Amino acid sequence: MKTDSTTSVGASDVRFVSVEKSFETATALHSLDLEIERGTLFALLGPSGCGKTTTLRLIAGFEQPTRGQVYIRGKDVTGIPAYKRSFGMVFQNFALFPHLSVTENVAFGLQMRGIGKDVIRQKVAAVLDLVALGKFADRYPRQLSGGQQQRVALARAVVFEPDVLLLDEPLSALDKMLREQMQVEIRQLQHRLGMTTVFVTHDQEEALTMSDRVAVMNHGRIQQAGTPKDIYDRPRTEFVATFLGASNILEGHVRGREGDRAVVDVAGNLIQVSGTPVSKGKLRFALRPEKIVLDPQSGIRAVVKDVIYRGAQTFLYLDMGGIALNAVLQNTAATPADIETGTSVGLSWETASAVALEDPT
Amino acid sequence: MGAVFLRLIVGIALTLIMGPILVVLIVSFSSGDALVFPPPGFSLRWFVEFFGIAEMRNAFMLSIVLALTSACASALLGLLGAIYVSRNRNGLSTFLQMLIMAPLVFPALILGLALLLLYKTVNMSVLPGLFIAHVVVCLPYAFRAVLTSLQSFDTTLEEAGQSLGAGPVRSFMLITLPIIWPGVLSGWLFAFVVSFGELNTALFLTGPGIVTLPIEIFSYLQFQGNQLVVAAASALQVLIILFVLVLAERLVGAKQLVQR
Amino acid sequence: MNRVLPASSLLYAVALPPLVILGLFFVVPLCYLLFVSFMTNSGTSLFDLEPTLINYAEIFTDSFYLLIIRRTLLSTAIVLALCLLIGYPVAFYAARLSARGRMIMLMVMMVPLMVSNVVRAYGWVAILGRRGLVSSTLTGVGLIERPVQYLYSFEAVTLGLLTILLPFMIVSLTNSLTTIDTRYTEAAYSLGASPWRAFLRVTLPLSSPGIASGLMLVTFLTLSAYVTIALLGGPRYKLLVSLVFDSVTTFRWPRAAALSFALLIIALIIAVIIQLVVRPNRVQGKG
Repeated sequence: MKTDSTTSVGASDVRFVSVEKSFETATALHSLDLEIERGTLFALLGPSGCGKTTTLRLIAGFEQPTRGQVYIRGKDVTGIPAYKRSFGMVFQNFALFPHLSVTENVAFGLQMRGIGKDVIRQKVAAVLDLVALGKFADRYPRQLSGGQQQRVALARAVVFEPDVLLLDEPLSALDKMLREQMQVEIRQLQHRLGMTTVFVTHDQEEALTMSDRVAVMNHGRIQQAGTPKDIYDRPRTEFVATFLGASNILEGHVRGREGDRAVVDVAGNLIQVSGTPVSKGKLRFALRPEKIVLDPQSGIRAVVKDVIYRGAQTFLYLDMGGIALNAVLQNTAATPADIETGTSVGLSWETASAVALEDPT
Repeated sequence: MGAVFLRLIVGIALTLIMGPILVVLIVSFSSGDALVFPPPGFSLRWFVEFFGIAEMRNAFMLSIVLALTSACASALLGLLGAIYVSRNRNGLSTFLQMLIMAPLVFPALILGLALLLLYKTVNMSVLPGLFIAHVVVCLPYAFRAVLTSLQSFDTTLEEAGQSLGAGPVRSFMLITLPIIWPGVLSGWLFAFVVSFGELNTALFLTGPGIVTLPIEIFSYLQFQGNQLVVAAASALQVLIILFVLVLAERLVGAKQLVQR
Repeated sequence: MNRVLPASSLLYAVALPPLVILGLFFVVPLCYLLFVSFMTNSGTSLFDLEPTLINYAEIFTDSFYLLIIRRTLLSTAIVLALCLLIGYPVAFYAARLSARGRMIMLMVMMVPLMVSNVVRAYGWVAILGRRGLVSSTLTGVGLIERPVQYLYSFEAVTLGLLTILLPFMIVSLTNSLTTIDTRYTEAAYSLGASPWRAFLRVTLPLSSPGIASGLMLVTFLTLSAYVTIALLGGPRYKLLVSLVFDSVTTFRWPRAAALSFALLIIALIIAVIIQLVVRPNRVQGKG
């Protein structure tokens, strides 16, 4: 049924409504709700086995949900097999057809849609130009480098203008240098085409660099979704705080409130923590090591246990009244050059940097 | 010392295995009337004589036709079975694999006897009965070759096909089959060769005027026919198999043939 | 991750043709054969519909049949022993060749495997027969006065079976020996084992799956190699499978059926013995 639901759901291109997926042995997804806006580059981030790949395969239709509905462009596609959906996919190992040339690989999706030969020729040529592979049209996949194969896979996935583009760990088969270059290329291409894109990765840096929005997944649940900055600066759970970059996880009793912040006692130091309605009991919060600066005037004191010099940064391993704390200092001209092990230092940070965590203690 | 001993045994084994076949090959080109070694001269007279004997000629043709057709049927059935077995891990796939592979070790003569009893009971005519027996015997070889290549086939390629809008059947025809065809072809060739040499199952299943070459050679030998015609017939058998193997090596590579 | 493709009904349809063909032309005939083996021999039709155990009882009580069974067991044992004794060194040699050399070796083994057994048996007839190569050459040189028949004996049959079945054994053993990690032997050396002891304690047990599968294949093929036995043993030297054939030619179908199952039972017993002696399970990781 093609109704106007396309417009009624508005800008959401992919939508999961309490989707559950269990395999014979385990549950892969617990009642997942997800909405991906049109035109965004959306990252599903998490460790292996967190359910991110299952989520992607549910969008593709390679798996069907045990419960719940999947919508693409407002249309309920639950139960519809992959080949009747409209998505392009770049596979982890690219899955280029080894027996077909670059041109034939890219033309495949158009041929399946019964498009005329002339149109196919034009579109293939155009998309190969877009990914700067015009010269390689007649080569076979095995004659291409990893980066070139990656671009062919991209071209093949976007040439028939699918509703959604899916990327399954698209860069994991490439070496580090190439990976960084392709991160930029994929992002630029996505912006130019404005195609809703979902990509799966276990690399937090990749997720932060490339995406407009990130959903951090663990144990078959979305822990937190938002812009990369949002998620990095205001993690809501310990998992998110530690999976994306390093974080100090601290805990203390709430002593009172100051405006919208709670005042927490951590080993005798009173620390203001933002983003919590709590005014009593225990509270856990995250503090990024790089937010900490040395401040001789500060009342918060810690003893330096170890100092590691790493060029642009200096890592400090601190002991704050029996609690371990890490700090990363940028080695600018303003930083004191020598920090001795065993000395006591004063610490301070922007009050917004101490973020309360929601998970139960 | 040990190495010399090892080489000696290898030499003995190769002589014992290859010797009789080489003797047949050499003797069949003899210009003499009897088995003498070395042959007095080279000639093709025994091959000419072979094709001059109607029974031999017919048996040869029947064996070729039977090998071609039963290889096609085995390759097709083997492909179907291998698709199921490679895509499923359940009781049926284990059972199917065992069932298909069973004729490989099952005493061929007993299978022939069982089929003969069945055929006699249901009044099956000779040619289709013989054809089916050949298919059953060749199927394991075709199946095994196809299964090996299907198991090493990366199924994400089929998913890629589906992501581009090709249904399961189209994905299989356009992507899987072109990639695994060396496996299917080597399965076909194995089946051809096995059918062409099939002996113990067919023993009971031939009929008047419908005799395969190995059976014709066997009955000729038992009734003391001219031995050098038998040598020529045997040599033809060997030469065709060599031809098929060389062809297979050219088409699909030696690795595909040797791996099992 | 679960990668079962959709369209499972289509997948069932794919399994159906081989299932039907093998059901109708492998399972059904064998069940029928079993049924016939319990029927009474008939002079006019295939069998009389009167259940009886006489076919089996005779096989295991009649002194002629017992002689043939003993002879069959002896021949099989000797062929198995020789196949292992000659095949193992050859496979050991092949496994240590370069990948290319091993491939050539296996190809060389494949050709005889594919040549029809009647041709390979004929090769021995041409060599050992009264008008054969050995006899005529020896007469020609003057070493013997008149042609000698070297066929139709225990030795001829054993030699024929050995040479025909040896490639099966070698291929099976080579494949098994090739997969053994050389680091196991090196580990044994590092622990102070001599090459011979390292072989006995490490390589040999690790190759037991290959030994077992090779021996079982040879067993089954030896027991059913009618044509080889008929050509090299002649009317004088018969084994159990020859009796199956003779019963067929005299139209005693239930007797032929019972002999077939006697043969299968013997094959299974030997297979069990091989499993118990060689114990491939200790390497294969099951049981």
